[in-house]
Order: sequence, then C-alpha cells, then structure tokens
Amino acid sequence: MTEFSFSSKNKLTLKEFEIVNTSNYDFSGHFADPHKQENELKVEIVKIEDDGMFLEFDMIGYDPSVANAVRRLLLSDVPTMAIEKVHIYQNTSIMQDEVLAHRMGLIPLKADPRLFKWKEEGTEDEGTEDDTLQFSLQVRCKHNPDKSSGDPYLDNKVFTKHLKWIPKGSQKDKLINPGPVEDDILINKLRPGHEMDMKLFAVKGVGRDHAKFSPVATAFYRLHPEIRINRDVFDENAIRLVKCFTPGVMQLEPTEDGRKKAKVLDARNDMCSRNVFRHEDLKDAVTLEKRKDHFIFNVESTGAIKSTELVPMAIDVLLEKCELYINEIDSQSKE
Amino acid sequence: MSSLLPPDKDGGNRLSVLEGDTSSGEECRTYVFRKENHTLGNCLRTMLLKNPQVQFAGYTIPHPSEDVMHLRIQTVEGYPAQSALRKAFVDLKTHASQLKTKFVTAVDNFEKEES
Repeated sequence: MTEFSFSSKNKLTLKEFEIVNTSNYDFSGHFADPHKQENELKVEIVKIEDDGMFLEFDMIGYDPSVANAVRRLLLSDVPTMAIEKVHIYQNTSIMQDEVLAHRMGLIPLKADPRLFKWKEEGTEDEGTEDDTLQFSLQVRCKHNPDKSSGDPYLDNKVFTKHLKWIPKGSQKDKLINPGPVEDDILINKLRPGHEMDMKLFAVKGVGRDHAKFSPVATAFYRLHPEIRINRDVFDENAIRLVKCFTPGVMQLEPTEDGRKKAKVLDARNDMCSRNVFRHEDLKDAVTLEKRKDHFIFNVESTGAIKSTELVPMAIDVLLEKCELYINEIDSQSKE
Repeated sequence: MSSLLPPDKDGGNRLSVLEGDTSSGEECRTYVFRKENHTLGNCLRTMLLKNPQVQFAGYTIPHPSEDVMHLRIQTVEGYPAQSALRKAFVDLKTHASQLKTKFVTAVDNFEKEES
C-alpha cells in the first residue's frame, strides 16, 4: 500500500472545456491517513440572518459523502408538520376542491414537529391531540356596503390569516400559535356569493413522502473557489480581467511605477462563470480551481424550525439510522 | 419526544443479506437495505473504504422505482464482512457525532460573538 500526500491535489481545476482532477481517490488500499486527524476537520459559521432562519456555514476537511448526506437529510428526512387531510364542507369558489386542498398542504406551519407523534396509518382523520393539528377556514365574500372606500368587496382575497387553529384536548396549554408561518399567503380569490368552509388536519411527515414536509426552502452547498494569477496583468487588460469575475472577487492594485495590477481579493464569492475563457489573451493569466474538501453550505428554513437547529436534527436522523442498523446486526447475529 | 425516523409500515428487518454468498465464506456479502438510498449508502461506502481490512466496498441502487440499496463488501481472510459493516456503522456514528458537536459549538461561539 503506497501512501501519497495529496495536500496539493485536493483541488479540482476548471479548464475551458473540462473539469480536471474531480475524483476522490477512494478505493480500498489507498489512504492519505486512515482517519483524518480530528483537528483537520472544521465547521465554521459564516452568517446567521433572518432570526436564525437563514444560515451559511463551512464544512472543511470532510468527505463529500458526508456533506452530501447532510444536504440530503435536510431536504428529505427531517420531519415537519403540514396539512394532509382537508374536509371540504362548502366550496363555491372558482378554484377546484383538489387544487385548493393541494395548496393548503403547501402552506408552511410554525408547529414544532418534535412535540408531535407520528400518526398511525388507518386511523381516522380527526386524530388525537398527540398527532394531529386541526384548523378551520370559513370565509364568505360579500359586497362592500361602504360605497365610498376603494374596495367593492369584503373578504374577496383569502389569506392564511383566515385560518383558525382549533386546539384539541390539552394542546392549548402546550402549543403557542402553531399556525401558518406567514399571515399574508394568498390562498384563493372570491367574489360576492362565494363561500369556503373547510376543516384541515395537519400531521407529521418527511420530505421523502411529499415535498410539503421538507423543512428547508432549500439547502445546498458549493465548493470554495480559488483563483491563482499565473502572470501579472496590467492596466487595460487588468480592468477586463477584473470584469470577468463576480464583483468583489478581483480588484486593481496600484504598483510602484504608477500602473494598475489585477489582484485576487476574495475568491469565496466567485460564481465560477469561467468568463475568462472568452478572452483569448487573458485565458492563460489565471488558473481557476475549487477546494474539494471545503463545502460552503446555505440552509434556508421555511420558518418552522431555525436553520441552526435543523442541521443538528439532520445529523440526529443519521445517528438514529446507524443505531437502528447496529441493533439489527446485533440481533440478527444472535440468531 | 418521539423518534425522528418515521415508523416502518411494512415491518420486519430493514437489513438482509442477498442469497448465494453464504457458501463462499464469511468474507464476501451483499447486504440489502430497504428504504435507504445514497444518503446512507455513500457514507457507509466511504467508512468501509477507510478500513484496511476491506478489499472491496461498493453500493448500488438496482432500480430507482424501488426503495432498495445493495452494499457489497469483500474483506481479507479471517475478517467477516459483517464485522466490517458493523465497524463502518460505528465509525459513521462517531464521525457524525463529532460533526454535530463541532457545529453546535460553532453556533454557540458565533452567537456569543454577535451579542
């Protein structure tokens, strides 16, 4: 077994028509080191915005399979509450029942799924206080008797604020306002005479079953770019070179003899458009690379759980899966 | 607080062995995982390849319409494939726990610095 040091080779190169050195060198018998030293693995938080709902963080030194697992778990395996069953008593609006029911399912709810149990299959829609949240939507559109105001109708637009939570059992003591995340999501439009009367039942589910149960608006990662200048570029060419990259990535630096030189300021924000390759004379001036083990994650929550709590939940799902399989292996080997 | 994993409606084991390998000894096995995909498969494969006693490790999803994953392990003489699989799960658990701790610490430090 040969041991190489791949410290210089942990970058992939973006060429004009191809991307080089993308493979991971993971085949049996090859190790840079059996388990990377723990201090080489880092997690750094870059930005937390929007009251914890938006998160940008870096995972450095990790294997792409683990980073991808975190991303996939965030999208499809972390549970959320969403409306599943809709009992429509009255719907004289233009929108068909099934379309309306579909829209209700997509409304993000603030309820914390960790406080609920999974609903068993085959039980009735009403459910128990441990596994179901009940809402009611009753709207009727009328003419506006007040002729002077601009609106000719009353309640012609149905928003999520019209949803009323019907607490079951002891839910009113345990939950604070588990309704929709935003009050101004438009559900339907009515005209005088139209009426909507429905009961909605929300349960716990995972993104795997239906995308409405995904707790993230999206979660994605990209590799940290790197730009190396091979030869100095001055003045006119430097201005063109700086324009090839996302603003803020390259800048002009004055030299001693009064000329302007192009310099890399911060490659992190580059969107890797490879625009340089459109200029014949500037193509060879830079080498575009990405660090294969530096993942820049962006996690944006729909509003039920903060992104800073979603990532540990995703890893918890992975830990539970491992636990499950270890137990199965142990019980099977006893047989 | 209930489990994060949804209940398994079909019941039974989620892990089984593909028939036909048991005659060739303990060192090669194909494991069949129900309701698993690349999320677990790729991670397990990575952990298995870090084990010097594993000669071959690979996973495949035979058909995208079926929620099934096959994991093939071949090990050196005298080291059962099942031990390699168990070790991979234990290693993955340790690795993921460390990642979680690092993340939670990083968030705490970031929030302390903000205030």
